[in-house]
Amino acid sequence: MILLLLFLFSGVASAYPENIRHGYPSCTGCHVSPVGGGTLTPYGRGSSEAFISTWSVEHEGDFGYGALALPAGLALGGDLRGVAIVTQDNTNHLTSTYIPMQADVEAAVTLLPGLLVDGSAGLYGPERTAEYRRLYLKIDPLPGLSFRAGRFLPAYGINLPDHTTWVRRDLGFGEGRESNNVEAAWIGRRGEALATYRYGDDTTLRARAPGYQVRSQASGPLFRGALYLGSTTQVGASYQRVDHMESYGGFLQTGITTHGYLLTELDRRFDGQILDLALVKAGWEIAQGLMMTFQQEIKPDNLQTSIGLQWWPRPHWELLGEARRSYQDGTGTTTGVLMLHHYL
Amino acid sequence: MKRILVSLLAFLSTFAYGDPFKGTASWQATGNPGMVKIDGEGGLVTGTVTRDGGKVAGTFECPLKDFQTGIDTRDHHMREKYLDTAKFPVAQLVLDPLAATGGDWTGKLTLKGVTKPVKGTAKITGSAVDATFSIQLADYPIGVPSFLGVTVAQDVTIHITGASSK
Repeated sequence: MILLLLFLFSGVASAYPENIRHGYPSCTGCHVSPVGGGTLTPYGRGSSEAFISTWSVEHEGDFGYGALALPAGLALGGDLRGVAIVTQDNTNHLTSTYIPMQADVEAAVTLLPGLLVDGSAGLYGPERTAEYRRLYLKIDPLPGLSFRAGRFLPAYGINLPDHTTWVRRDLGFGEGRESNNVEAAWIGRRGEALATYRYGDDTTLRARAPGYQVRSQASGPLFRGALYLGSTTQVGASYQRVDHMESYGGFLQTGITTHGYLLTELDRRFDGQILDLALVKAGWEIAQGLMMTFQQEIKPDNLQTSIGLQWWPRPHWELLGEARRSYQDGTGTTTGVLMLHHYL
Repeated sequence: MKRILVSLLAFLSTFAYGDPFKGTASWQATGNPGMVKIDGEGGLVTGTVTRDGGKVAGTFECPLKDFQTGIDTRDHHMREKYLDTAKFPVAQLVLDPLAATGGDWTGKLTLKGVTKPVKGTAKITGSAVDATFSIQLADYPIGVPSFLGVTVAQDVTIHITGASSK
């Protein structure tokens, strides 16, 4: 069980799709990547001061708290993230552990106008495996149009920061599943469309096991398209066919005033048998920077309910407390999670 | 005689002052990169609507400081840096006569001391007015609103809704 939890709670991404409630249907205002997560733009850092954190002072959200002025065209960052987990299984046996999830650095360098390199490297997971998770070249030939080639997590569904959710993990977008890809992305006023071809070389979960490095060579196309409805709603669909596995699904992300949000995703996976997956996540900001969350995940004979409190007290800091009740394959488990995240 | 004078004044006032109008204004802009949707809401509109021979015209004013975009920093920049609401507190729209049921219209918008022709569409149902039009920021001395690399696109859509009363 502990080993399973180590895998489950070692996610790294920091995309926050709930910011759609503030009129951010796309990720590219705040992130270098068109699918979000990873290196922040100056605007993303400014946003952490303006409306994400409870308290802040000017330039507090800048890299290194603004102590180091970066030249134009260079964005630096990095994450330290750890989680403490307490689990009670159906025999009332209690287990607790602390997992260092992530200690990495990241950089995006603009080589020429419309041409940049973005990458990240560091230590990941309880084994502190040294890896580079992202390294890609991005070209923006026209406003809204970009091409990427390199190592990154392809676009599919809602880019939730929690890679352990079933709609991420069971569809090939869990921990360490960055792969070698080429991608074309168009982001317009009324919607976005991304087409990716995955060439494999993603690290599977088994790579976390000591002395057991496995690289998947799964390859195939992925598509993700979405329409922006009004200022705070995105509805879309995704498809992928990666070797023997195929999946498709729809998703909805919507803001409920500037305080609340609802994220839903439904997917069907084929790989010899059918697996249906559903996710509903909702949140309400009870004070600026303090978010109450509810999440329900469903798949056949499996159910997982989570309630949590997520707090961004000041720029660079995130604290997450969550209680989760799972019924998986006939086994009930209650889990308490406390995660601390600091970004540079 | 007195009755005739009162009636005449009432009749003339219909043309000179029209019916008072109260409503709200909102606008939407887009910031790039990121297709950031910026909604300005909370603008209170007052004015007059005149009706003459199956045509409707009007004059509307809206204090700019009331608009809110949902982010305090952005509101501050909008008021202080771009609209200069201390010096130019009000936007004024003068609507040329249009059909009493609405349709396409033309008019003039004064913003930050500059008056430019505008055109839009309107739906008029009884005393209720619902009008939409777009402006180009470059037509007015606003500058190019920008914050940490995200720049507001030139076209801004404005929506006015409200009703006149006798």
